[in-house]
Amino acid sequence: MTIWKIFVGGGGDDWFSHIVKTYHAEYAKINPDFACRYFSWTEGDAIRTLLNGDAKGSNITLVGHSYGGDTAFWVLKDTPNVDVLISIDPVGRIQRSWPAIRADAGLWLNVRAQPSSANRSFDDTIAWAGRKYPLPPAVGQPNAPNHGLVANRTHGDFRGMMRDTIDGVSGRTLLGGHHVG
Amino acid sequence: MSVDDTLRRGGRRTLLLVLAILLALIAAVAVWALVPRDLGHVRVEQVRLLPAGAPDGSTKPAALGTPVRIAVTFVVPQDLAKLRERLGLGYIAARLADCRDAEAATQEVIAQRAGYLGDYGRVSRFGTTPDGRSRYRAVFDDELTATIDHAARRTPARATPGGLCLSLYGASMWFRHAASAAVPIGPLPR
Repeated sequence: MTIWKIFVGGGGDDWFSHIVKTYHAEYAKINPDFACRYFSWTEGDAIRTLLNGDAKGSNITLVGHSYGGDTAFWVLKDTPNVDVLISIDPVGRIQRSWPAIRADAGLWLNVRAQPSSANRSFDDTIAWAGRKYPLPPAVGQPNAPNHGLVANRTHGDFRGMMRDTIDGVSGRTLLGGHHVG
Repeated sequence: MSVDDTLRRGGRRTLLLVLAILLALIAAVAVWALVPRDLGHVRVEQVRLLPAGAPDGSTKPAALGTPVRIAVTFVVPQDLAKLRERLGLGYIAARLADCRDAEAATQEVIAQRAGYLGDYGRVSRFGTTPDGRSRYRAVFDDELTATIDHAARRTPARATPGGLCLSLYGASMWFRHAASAAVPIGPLPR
């Protein structure tokens, strides 16, 4: 069975910052046995096509950062076959509700960036203006992710938030395979 | 002309003025955000091939390494860590790319403020030149990557028919980005 690892970058990832795109390229290189794909947050339909087509019935991990997290949340609505969802500081204008996401997600880790003043940057201001998702319900409460993490990191620190661990679980461990640095 | 007409016309003029100022502001913000900043001229001083097993001083995982690596020493007008801070960029990286297709590239981080890209310590600063410029050495894998149809495609760097070019690239998370002109690194030593 093919194992799919699908990465969804946020606003500006495709044009300027290449944060998730670069992570995907590194991850794909050291994990040649997985089918790895990168999508922009604007490509929800292409992700749906993949998940309901070639990837249907496979093991699927979906990683979304910023606006890409929101895209991942909405994609779940039409593709209820995602095994692992990793949402890294999701941002979205028209937000999906936590109960709806919970109902469609399999194993789910959510990381929210809450930087101290020392770690805060312009990234966080724009993420706030773009409408960050609020904190989801605490783990154990109804509609909560399986793992929830609050990170003292700036919004663009995707790698840091993938590394951050709670109870031995991180974005990297849920993603599996060989770890990107 | 009645007093009402005069007031109405004055109000319209004020509204148009406010709209014009708003449009000018939006245009200024768009220019500030979207026009790339110049990272200065890059001059390549030396290119070397590092054979398999040669230490390059990096923390890059062994699995990421290619048998041969390409070490490029280059000179730029300014200290790039300071320049990154001054321009408010998230990171600045050195990019080795196909001169004919900048999408096919490999990059190493020079300076960044958070975990935007993987920093494997493959770029080191070698002090300054007599004329006050900053000298750096970057070690790249012999491999270029491009994202095509959503998948990462890799090609050996040394097999690039158009030759290899070095440039600097910097970006923030959302809008601002900066670049230098790409300069050919010349024929690779055997």
